[in-house]
Amino acid sequence: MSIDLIKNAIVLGSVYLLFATGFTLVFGSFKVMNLAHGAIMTLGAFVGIYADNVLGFPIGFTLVVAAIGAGAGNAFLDAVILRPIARQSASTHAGAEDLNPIVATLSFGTIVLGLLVQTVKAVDFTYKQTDALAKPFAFGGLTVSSLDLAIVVCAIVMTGLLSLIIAKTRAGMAVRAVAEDRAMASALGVRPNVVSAATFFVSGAMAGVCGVLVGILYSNVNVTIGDHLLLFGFVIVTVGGLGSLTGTAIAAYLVALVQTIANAYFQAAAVDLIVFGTLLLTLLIRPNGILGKNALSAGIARR
Amino acid sequence: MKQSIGLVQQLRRSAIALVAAVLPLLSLPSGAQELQLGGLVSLDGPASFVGIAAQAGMKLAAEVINKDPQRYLGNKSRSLAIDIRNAGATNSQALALARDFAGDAKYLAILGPSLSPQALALGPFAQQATIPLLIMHSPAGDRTVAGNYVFAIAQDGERLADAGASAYLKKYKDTKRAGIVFGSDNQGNVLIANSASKAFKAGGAEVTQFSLPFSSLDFSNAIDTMKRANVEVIYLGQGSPAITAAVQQAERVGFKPRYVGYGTMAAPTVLKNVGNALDGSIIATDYDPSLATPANQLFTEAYRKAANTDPDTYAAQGYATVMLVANAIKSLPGVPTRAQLATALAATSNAESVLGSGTFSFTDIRTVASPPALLQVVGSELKPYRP
Repeated sequence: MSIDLIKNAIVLGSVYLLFATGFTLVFGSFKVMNLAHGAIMTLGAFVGIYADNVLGFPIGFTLVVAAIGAGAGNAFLDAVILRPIARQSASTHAGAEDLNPIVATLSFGTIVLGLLVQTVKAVDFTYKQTDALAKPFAFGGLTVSSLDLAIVVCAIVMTGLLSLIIAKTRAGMAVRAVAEDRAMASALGVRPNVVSAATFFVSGAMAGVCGVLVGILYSNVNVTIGDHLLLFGFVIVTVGGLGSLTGTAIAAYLVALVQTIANAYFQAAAVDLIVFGTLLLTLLIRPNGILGKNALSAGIARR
Repeated sequence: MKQSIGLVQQLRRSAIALVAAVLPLLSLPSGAQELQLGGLVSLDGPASFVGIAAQAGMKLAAEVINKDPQRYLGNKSRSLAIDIRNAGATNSQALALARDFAGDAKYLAILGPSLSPQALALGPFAQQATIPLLIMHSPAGDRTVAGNYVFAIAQDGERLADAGASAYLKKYKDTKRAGIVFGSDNQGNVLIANSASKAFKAGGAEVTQFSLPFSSLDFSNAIDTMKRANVEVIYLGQGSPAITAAVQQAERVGFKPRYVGYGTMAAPTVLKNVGNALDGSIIATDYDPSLATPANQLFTEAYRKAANTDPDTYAAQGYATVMLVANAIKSLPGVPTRAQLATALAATSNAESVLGSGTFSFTDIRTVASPPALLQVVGSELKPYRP
């Protein structure tokens, strides 16, 4: 296996990690399988396109604007759709056996994409202000672009920071408390709605950053860019152990490595067979995922 | 009493039905004839860029024709309407829509589809349903046109790949190593890759192939493989968004080969997005934007005005397809039938067109008679290439 393949796997794994971290954060905290996560990422990518193509922002600002846009979209999903549904069903972000949140997030994602299609049509856009990320660096026999480095650094720093915040800070403690027992946390002075809004915002913001970086990496932004990642994100968080950030990180790089190797040595039709076959095997050996204690109940708090 | 109320109601209903039936007729001028065509293009999925452009071209052609029906349809009381539907990315969706068109006698012909796997699937259906089908993306000429109702208005992919690779080797005679990147899950793309490979090998080049899903935009492994193989030229058979992605990903790791491609590479969006990275590349395609004919001038100006961008190959194909049908209709008196239209289309010879060198003829097997247009990229601009 060449060093190029490992580099490509690390870059791809970092993309998956950026996407899947927000996905698993929401599940770990509120047991909500947010099937709108792909659409939120796409929304972030288009907010980024507006900042880049129309406002001419430099790429750093574009990332921030996209993060805010996607974060706000996800917080809106929480405040306007998920919480009222939870109240209606007399449970607060009810457990995974409650299908309403899944249907609600799926519907919300479809509506977001539908609105985007109406607004931008099925047209492909590209980021323009990306010269800063186009520079190649040579390390021995390996050439890495500044974009590759930016993606890896973003993924590791953002996921690492999130892990630290959740494990070591008061805010993280509040998230863990709400994840553990919402009613008890509320009785102890934690404001679950604020925690919930903040968690959804952070999850969406990471998706937004992912959307911009993926849009630059693949030179394209269209309304379908989130579809493929949602499938892989779903698989990664399941294999990693639902709700486990460390498990998600391991799974993201594992899936990327298997996919990269399969892509390099086999015909396209065999790639999915190999990737999903490996994942199925992983789940057969570890039914709760790589670091999951209980696939449906282990949260970040239990790490 | 009850009986007379019932009679009045019945009379009223009959009168309403009569008015409803007559009203549409009154709204058309006496002797007016609206000719209805069905359009099938992919407006979503990985090849939506083809369908969207083709749709714009078809609509524009209908507008131009309806402004001067005497000239384009041979009768001032005729008009052309195109019912364009989204064939999506699957054969089943395209087939279902084609069945709708074929089952409704008002549709004279089907224009499309714009995806090569759909073209292969729809040919036999159209032949069986005896409705003219004008395919706008043809992977393999003689295998695409399944019978006398099926026409390929696009150069077949194998021919384009062969022409592009051969022209490249004529320009860069010392080429030792060539690469081919293609989607192995797309039948048309596989045929194109095989044809390009054959042409490169015939020219003495060693060929490295890399396949990936047709919809994939991640070319990192493909680029690394090509870079390691030290290829001087890469044949890219993907869609326009994927070509932009591949070329930019190669640039980011400092790899600057030349490229060969077809219409997808000639799209204005690709040339704009990749800057000078395609400089020196060769493209074999259906449409030469620099074609200096009144028809192309009219098309280009009208398209720029309508779409606010330059037309690409697929817009030109959409436009040319409608114009070809109009040209065939023009030769038919009275109300044309599907069978008459198929016969008239087959007889198309040297019809004015924006494709090829300005005229269009079908071969005996209803494929494109003229050779592909050869273009070269100079800087970030397309120029005609004469080997």
